Amino acid sequence: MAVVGLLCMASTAEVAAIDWNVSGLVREEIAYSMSGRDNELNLRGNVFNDRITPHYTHAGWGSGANSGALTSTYIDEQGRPGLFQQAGVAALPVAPRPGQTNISTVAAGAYTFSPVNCRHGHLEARSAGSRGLVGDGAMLGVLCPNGGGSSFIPTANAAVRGARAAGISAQGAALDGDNPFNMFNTRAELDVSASLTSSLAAFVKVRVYADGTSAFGDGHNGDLFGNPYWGRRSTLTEFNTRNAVLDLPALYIDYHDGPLWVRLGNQTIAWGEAYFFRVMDVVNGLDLRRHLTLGPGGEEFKDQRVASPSLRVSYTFDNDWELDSFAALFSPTVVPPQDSAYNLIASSTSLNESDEFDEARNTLNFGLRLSMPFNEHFTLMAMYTNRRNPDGVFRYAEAPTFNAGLANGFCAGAHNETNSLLSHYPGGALTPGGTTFPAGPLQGAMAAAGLDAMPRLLGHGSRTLDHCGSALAPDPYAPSSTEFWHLLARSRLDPMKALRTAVDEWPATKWSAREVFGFGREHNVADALRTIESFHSLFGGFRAYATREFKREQVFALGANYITHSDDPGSFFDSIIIRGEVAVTPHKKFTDLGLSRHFIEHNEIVSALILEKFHRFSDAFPATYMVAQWMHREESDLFGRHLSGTESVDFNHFIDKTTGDFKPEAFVEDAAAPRGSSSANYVVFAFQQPTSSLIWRFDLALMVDVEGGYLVQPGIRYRPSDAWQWDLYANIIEGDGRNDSVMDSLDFADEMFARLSYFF
Amino acid sequence: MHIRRFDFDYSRRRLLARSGALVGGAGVLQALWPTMAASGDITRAYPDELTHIEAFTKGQIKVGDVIDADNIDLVQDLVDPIVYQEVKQDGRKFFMQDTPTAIETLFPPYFLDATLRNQGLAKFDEAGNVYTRDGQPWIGGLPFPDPQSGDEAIANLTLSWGRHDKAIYCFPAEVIGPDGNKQYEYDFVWAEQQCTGLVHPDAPGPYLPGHEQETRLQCIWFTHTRDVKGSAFLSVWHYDQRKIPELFGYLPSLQRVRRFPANQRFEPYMPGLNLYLSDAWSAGDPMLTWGNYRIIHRGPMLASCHDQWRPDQDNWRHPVCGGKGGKSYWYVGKSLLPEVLVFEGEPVGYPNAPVSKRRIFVDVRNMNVLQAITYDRRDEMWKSFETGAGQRRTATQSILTKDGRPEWSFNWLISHDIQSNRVTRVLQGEKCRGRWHTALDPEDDLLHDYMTEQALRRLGT
Repeated sequence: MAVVGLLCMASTAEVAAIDWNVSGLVREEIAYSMSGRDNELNLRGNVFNDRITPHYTHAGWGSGANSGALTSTYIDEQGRPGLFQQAGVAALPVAPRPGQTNISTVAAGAYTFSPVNCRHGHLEARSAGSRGLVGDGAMLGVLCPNGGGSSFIPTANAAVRGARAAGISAQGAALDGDNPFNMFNTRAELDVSASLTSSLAAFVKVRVYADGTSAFGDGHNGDLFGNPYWGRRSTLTEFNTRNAVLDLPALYIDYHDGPLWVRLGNQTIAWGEAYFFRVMDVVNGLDLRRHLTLGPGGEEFKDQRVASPSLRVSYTFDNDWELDSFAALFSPTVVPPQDSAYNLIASSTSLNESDEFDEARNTLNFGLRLSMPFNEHFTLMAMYTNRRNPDGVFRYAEAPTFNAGLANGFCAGAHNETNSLLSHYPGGALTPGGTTFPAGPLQGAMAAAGLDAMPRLLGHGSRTLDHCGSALAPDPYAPSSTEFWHLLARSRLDPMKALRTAVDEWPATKWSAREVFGFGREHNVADALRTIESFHSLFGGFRAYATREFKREQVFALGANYITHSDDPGSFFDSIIIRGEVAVTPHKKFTDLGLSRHFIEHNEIVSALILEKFHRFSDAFPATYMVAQWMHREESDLFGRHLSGTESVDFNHFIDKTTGDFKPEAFVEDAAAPRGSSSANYVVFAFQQPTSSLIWRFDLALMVDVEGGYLVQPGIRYRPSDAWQWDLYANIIEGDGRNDSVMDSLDFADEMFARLSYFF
Repeated sequence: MHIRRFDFDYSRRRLLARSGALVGGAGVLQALWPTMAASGDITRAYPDELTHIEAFTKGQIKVGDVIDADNIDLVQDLVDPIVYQEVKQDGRKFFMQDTPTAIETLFPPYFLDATLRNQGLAKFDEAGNVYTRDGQPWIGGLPFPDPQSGDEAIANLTLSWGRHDKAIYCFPAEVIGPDGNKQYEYDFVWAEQQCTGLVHPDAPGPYLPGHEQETRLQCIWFTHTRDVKGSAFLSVWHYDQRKIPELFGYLPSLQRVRRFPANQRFEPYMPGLNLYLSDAWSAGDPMLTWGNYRIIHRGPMLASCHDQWRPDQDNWRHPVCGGKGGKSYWYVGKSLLPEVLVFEGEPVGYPNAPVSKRRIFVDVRNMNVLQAITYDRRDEMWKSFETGAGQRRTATQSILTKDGRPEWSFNWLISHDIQSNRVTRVLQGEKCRGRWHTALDPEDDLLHDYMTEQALRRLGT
C-alpha cells in the first residue's frame, strides 16, 4: 500500500513529467520427458497403483513364521501393558519395570487380519458390506480384487478369506496416468517502469503463467498453484487458479540520493558469490511451482526467488564500502505442487501448512551485508541475516476429523474406531491366545487397568493436538505398507522412526496402538511391520498429514573475491576470478527423519569455492565463459535435507526372497535406519560459448554430487532478432540408486525443453 | 576566399611528403596549432583547395551536392575504403557541407580551453603513461594537440573520451541485417565520469577527489529490449594504461552485481551488435595494452565533423539511406577536412584477439576520431567505426555551456561489419527508453548516481 500511495503522490505531483517504459514477453515453455515414466511421487506415476501387496506378517505369508514372531510390547511409565497384552505380560515370569522396552509378547501377525492391501481396499470393504471387526461398522479392513482381503466381509468366499490375492488391481491401475510433457505452459510478462523524478522511480512486473500440461496427459493432476498462505495465494501478490497464476514479482519504488539508495515494495534480493549454490543467498525463498530449478543454469533463480514486501536500504561510503540492509515480510518457499511433473512430496502425504504459516505470518526477516573492496584485486563481504527459514522444516500435522467423505477413525472422539471396538467388544479373545475380555464396553476395563478410557488431547490452543490427535486419516488412495516404507525411504526419512513418531507423538494414535492393542515401540523391522500391517488390516488405507514450521535462525557469512593477474596476458591463469563464501547457521533446525516435532538441531556450515574465467581459445569465437564451483555442506544436502537421512533402505532388504520370512536383521534394533552421510559435496563445471555475433550460444552445465550422480544440461540459445529467441535445453539426470545424492531424488526429471520467446 | 599562393598539387605533394616521413606537425602553409591558437582559425594553415571541396575537385563537386554511387569515384581518394564501398555498392549517400575553419566549432569549449592552456605540458613516463612535466597525472585537454607519433595520437583519444568531465549519452541503436532489415534494436545509456584531466570550471581541480589514480569511471546500462533491459556494467579505468580496467556487471538473470574479468574486450555487448568494449571511441582499451602505434598517412578527407546535430528531428534522429532496405546508414553531411592523420595500432596485449590492427582516422584540428577500421587476423578489413560530431548549434537552436558557449559532442556512429554485412547504427539521441536524457556536464552526481555497484543494482531490474 505504501508503494501505491507513493506512486499516487508522485503521479499527482508530476504526472506530466513521468516517463513510462513498458516492455514484456510472451513465451511458450515446453518440456518433454525423456525418463519414460512419470514421477513416482505422483499418484498417476505411482508404481504401486495396481499392485496387490502382501502383508508380510500375515499368517498366510511365507512359512507363517513371520506371523508368530514376537514383537515389542508396550509398558507404560507405571509398568502397565496395553489392554490387549495384559494376559501375555502377566504370563511373563517377571513383572515388567515401568517403561521397560525389551519385552516381546505381541505376535507380529496377531492383528494382521488381511493378507493383502491395495488401492481402494478400505472403500471396497465398505462397499462389500463389511460391518467391521466386531460388527459395529468400525475397523472395516480391506478388500482387494480376486477375493483377497479382509476376513470381515460377511459375503466373501470363506475359501479365499485370508488368501493372498492374485493378479493386479484394475481399479488401482486405472489411477495410472502418463504425460509425456513435463511442461506445456505459456508465460506472459509485462514490465512497467516509471521515472517519477530524477531520484524517484517505480517498477512493476506482472507475470502470468498458465499451465497447459494437463491437456496432454491423463491421470490425476493436482492443484498447481494454490497454497493456504494468503487465502489460497502462495505469495502475497498473486491471484491463482488450479491451472494459472498471475503475480507481481516486482512492485516497488526506488529512491536514491547520492550514496543512499532505498527500495520499498515487493522485491527480491540476491546476495552471494556462487551461482546456483545458495550460501549467502538467504534472503528469499524459492517458488518451485513452475520448472523446479531445472531451467537454464545461466538464469539461476531469476524466476524462482519469492518476492516479498521489503525495505532495502543501501549506503555507499566514500571508500566504496557498501552497507546493504533489508527488512522483509516473511514469505515461504513454495514447494512444487503435488501431482505435478516436478513434485517432490509423495502424493500419499497431505501438506496442511495453514496453521504453521499463520504462526510465521506477518513476521519479518532482516539482515545486512557489508561489502569491502580493499583494492583492485580483493573484495571482502560480511553478512548477517536473521530470518525465519523460508524452506521450513517438515513434521507430521494433525489430520482432519473427516477426510474423503469418511469420518477419521484415527481421531479421538465419537468416531474413533478403537473406541468403537472397545464399546462393542463381542467378548472373548480378539485373537487366538489373546486376552479374554467380557463383552464391551471395555472402557471400564481400561480405566480399571489405570489406562485412559479415551485419548487425551492437549487442547489449550495447541495448534496440532486439539482436534484429532492423530496425523493419520483414512483415504482411498492411501499407500500400502510396502509403499509407505518405500516412499518414506525415498524421501530421505527413516520409515521406522516415522511410524514410531506417528504413534507416539499423537495421543489418539498412541492410545489406540499402545494402550489398547499394546504394541511396543517399533525398534526393528518386525515391530514396524507388525504395527503398520495391523493398522492397514484394521483401519484400511490411510494417509499421513504433514506441515512445515518456519523456524527463526541467524545466518553469519563471509565472502570474498579475488582476481588474478599474470604478466603474460595470454596465460590461462590471468584474470581468473576466485570467489569464496562460507555461511554458518548456529542451531539450525532440520526436518527430523521421523517427522517428529522435535527437529534435528545442528550448527550448519555451508561453503562454496568458485573459479570463473573468460578465455579466448581462438580468434574465431568470442571468449568462452567457464565457471567451476565446489560446494561443501556439513549437515544438509542441496535441498536442505539432513544428511543423516541418506541411504535409507526398503524393508524388503529384511525379507528372505526365497522363504518370505524375516531375515535375522529384521529383529536387529535400528538395522533399517538410514546410514547417513558425513557431508555433502557438489562440483559444477559450466561453460557458455557464443558465436561471433552472439546470435547463437552453446551452453553446457554439469553438476556432480560426489556421493554419486550427475546432472548434465546442454543447451542452445538462438536469438535471430530482437523480438524472438529460441532456447533448446536438456536435463539429463542420473543417480546411483543408493538414495544418497540429490540426483537420486531428481532422477525422474530427464527431459528436453524448449522455449520460444517473443519480446515486445 | 583564401588567396591561392600555390598550385593545385602543392598541398597534395606536401602532405604526401610528410606522410612518408611520418613526422612533422599539422598544417601545410603554417603550423596548424600555433596558427589556430593565435587566430582561432585554420585558414592560414592550409591552401584553399584543402578547405573548399569545389576547389579540390576543380568544380566537379560543390557544397550541397549529394554523393552517391554515380559520383563517389570523383572523391574516392577522400573517403576511407569502407565508406567508398558503402556508397559504391550498397546505396549509401551523403551530402557535401562546407568546411568549418573556426577552432571553437571543433571542440567542447572547456576542453578547448584546457588544451590551449596546457599545451606543451604533457610527456610520457618510462612506461608510456602521460604525465605533466612535474610528474602529475594529466590535467586536461589534449595532451598532444599536434601529435608526432602514434603513441601521442592514441593518448589524445584515450585519456578523455567524450571531452567532458562527465556526460550521459542516450543511444538508441539498431542493427541492420544483411537483408537490409532491422534485425535488433537496443537502447542503452552510456555515462562517463573523468577522474583525471577535469576541465570544467566547477571541477574541484584537475582530479576527482579520491580517484586521482583513475582515468575514468564509465557505466553502460541497457533499457531496451526486454531481454537485455537492466543489464548494466561499470568499468573502472586505472590511470596506468598498462592495467586492464575493473569491470562490474549486473545481469538481470543473476539479480546481483558481480565482478567480471575484463580482459576479453572483443565480444559484442549484446547479440548482433558490432560494438565491443575495445571499440569505444576507437580507443576502448587502455592504450598501453595495445602497441606498435604508427602514423601511416596524412591527407585530406571527407568526414562528418560539424553540423551533425539535428534538433529539428525527433530525438535528434538523422534520416537513413542505403542498404537493401534503404535504412542501413545515416544520411548525413560530410565536409572536406584539410588534414587527417591516419595511424594504426595492434592489440599486442590480447594474444587471441580476433583483431590484427586498427586503423584510426583523426582530424588533426581537434584530434577527434572520424573513422576506425578494424582488420581481422588475416589482415582483411572487418568493420568500421565511423562517427559524426559537431557543435550543438543550429540556426535556431543551441545547447550552451554554463558560460554561454555552444556545446560540442559526437552525434552518431555507424559500425559496419563488412564481412557479415551487418550494420550497427547508433544515434546519440536526446533521450532513450526509460527516463534517460543526454546531458553534457550535468550537475548530477554521476559518481553516486551511476558509478557504484549500488547504482548498477538500482539500474537493473
